[in-house]
Amino acid sequence: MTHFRKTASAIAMTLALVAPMAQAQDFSTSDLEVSLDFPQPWPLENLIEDGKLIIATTGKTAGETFIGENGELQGARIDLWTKMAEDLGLEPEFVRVDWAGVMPGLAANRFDLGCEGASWNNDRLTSNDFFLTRPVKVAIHVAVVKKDSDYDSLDDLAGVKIGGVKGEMELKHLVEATGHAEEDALGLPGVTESRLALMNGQIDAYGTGLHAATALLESEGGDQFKILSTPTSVGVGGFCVNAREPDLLTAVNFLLAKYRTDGTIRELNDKWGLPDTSDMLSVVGY
Amino acid sequence: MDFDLSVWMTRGPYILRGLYETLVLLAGVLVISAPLAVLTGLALEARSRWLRLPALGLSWLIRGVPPLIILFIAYYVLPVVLDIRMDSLTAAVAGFVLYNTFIMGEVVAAGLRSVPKGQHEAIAAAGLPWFRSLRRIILPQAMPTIIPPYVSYSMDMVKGTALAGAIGVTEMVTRANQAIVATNRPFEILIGVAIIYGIIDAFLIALQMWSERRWDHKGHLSA
Repeated sequence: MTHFRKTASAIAMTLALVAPMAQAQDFSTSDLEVSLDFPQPWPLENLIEDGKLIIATTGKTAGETFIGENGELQGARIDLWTKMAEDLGLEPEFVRVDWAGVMPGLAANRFDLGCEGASWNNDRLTSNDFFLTRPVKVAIHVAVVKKDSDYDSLDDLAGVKIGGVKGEMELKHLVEATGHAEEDALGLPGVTESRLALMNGQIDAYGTGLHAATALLESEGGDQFKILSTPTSVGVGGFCVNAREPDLLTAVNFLLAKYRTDGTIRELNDKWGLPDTSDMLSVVGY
Repeated sequence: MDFDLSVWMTRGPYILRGLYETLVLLAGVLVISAPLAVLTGLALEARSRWLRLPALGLSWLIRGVPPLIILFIAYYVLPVVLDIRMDSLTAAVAGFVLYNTFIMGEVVAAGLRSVPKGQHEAIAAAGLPWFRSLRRIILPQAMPTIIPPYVSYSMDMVKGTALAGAIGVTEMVTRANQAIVATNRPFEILIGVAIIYGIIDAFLIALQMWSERRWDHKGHLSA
């Protein structure tokens, strides 16, 4: 009798385990809605100023962060950072600095967040001065030339005068892609100066990001330029977070995942006429 | 390429707000550094080596450092090293005041040296109070020597304020650059900004001429 009881119990337990599995086979994961709830306000203990998200921006990249006719900062990144600050329960405060000042400012505890989409590289990934967030875009670097020039490919740029923003990865990649020596390239303070140098014939091509190049072509007078069809490099770019604020890094990474999933990043890129690379981010696991 | 000045209708107000920041920065630097430059000039010409040598050392050091580096130190280094946190404009004023004080201090020292030795000896012999004799006798005679280079350095300062954009001061050139990004009209905007700088410099030159007329070469104050 005891033996019978043991056998019956074993059968009952097996059925109990198997039954839900049988039900699980009816699940369609494609219909599931993934929960991306998060604390609002997000408790952040290491902000420079309580209640404020201090963000460094150059204000010099058309489409992403630039000054509108009303004299205010605007663009896809400004909208994204403003939404991010609101979702975190913070007030955004934008500080306009040159690109050369963004990373030193993060190291000096001046800003909580910065970089409009800094390309990942070994130095930045291992920096002790700031954290790189998960990518906000695929960073496609390109060469811009005059439309009436004979340059149609990167090979055509061998031996011609090239330039770009000093210290930026875009210039470094153009130098590498065209086989120039680094000292032969003209390092300029900003994108504006690069464009001027191209217009004036001081350089024949400059390296920049696809976002900035697209915005240039769509701006007034942009029809005198063209983008070479082969990129100089394709990587990913993210924001930079103050290294004293690991809790902010977690929050920003979470929100970037959410905004990519719910289409916010795509919507903002469309709104400001920027090429959207959200789908490409999936390819690299983000 | 067509030349379209209408860009100043839309972007002019934004750029001119930068002119206001430029003038505030300039006024702050010139007003604060002027008395400090006089003190520095006096220290550089002091008989006491305890005053003179530190002043000489500091002057040599500060004048040898590019102003942009001083601004970076004021804005990016002081918060970390000394926990001194200034906003962009204050850091720019502080950095430029430091630089300008020693540049102008040398100008003041040169002016003091231009006063004949006999004047100093006569003051000492007459036993006149130091501050009074400085104000009434020495400085008026030094002014014709001090004013031209002082104004010349002030004009350099006007142009140097553009460096403050590197630490986040939205002065005129920074705003002009931002306007160029938004409009793709570099020539119209840059030429306009150059004209505005020219007007400020013309004002300073007029001030120099007026000052030189007020102090004749003998150091007499004209009526």
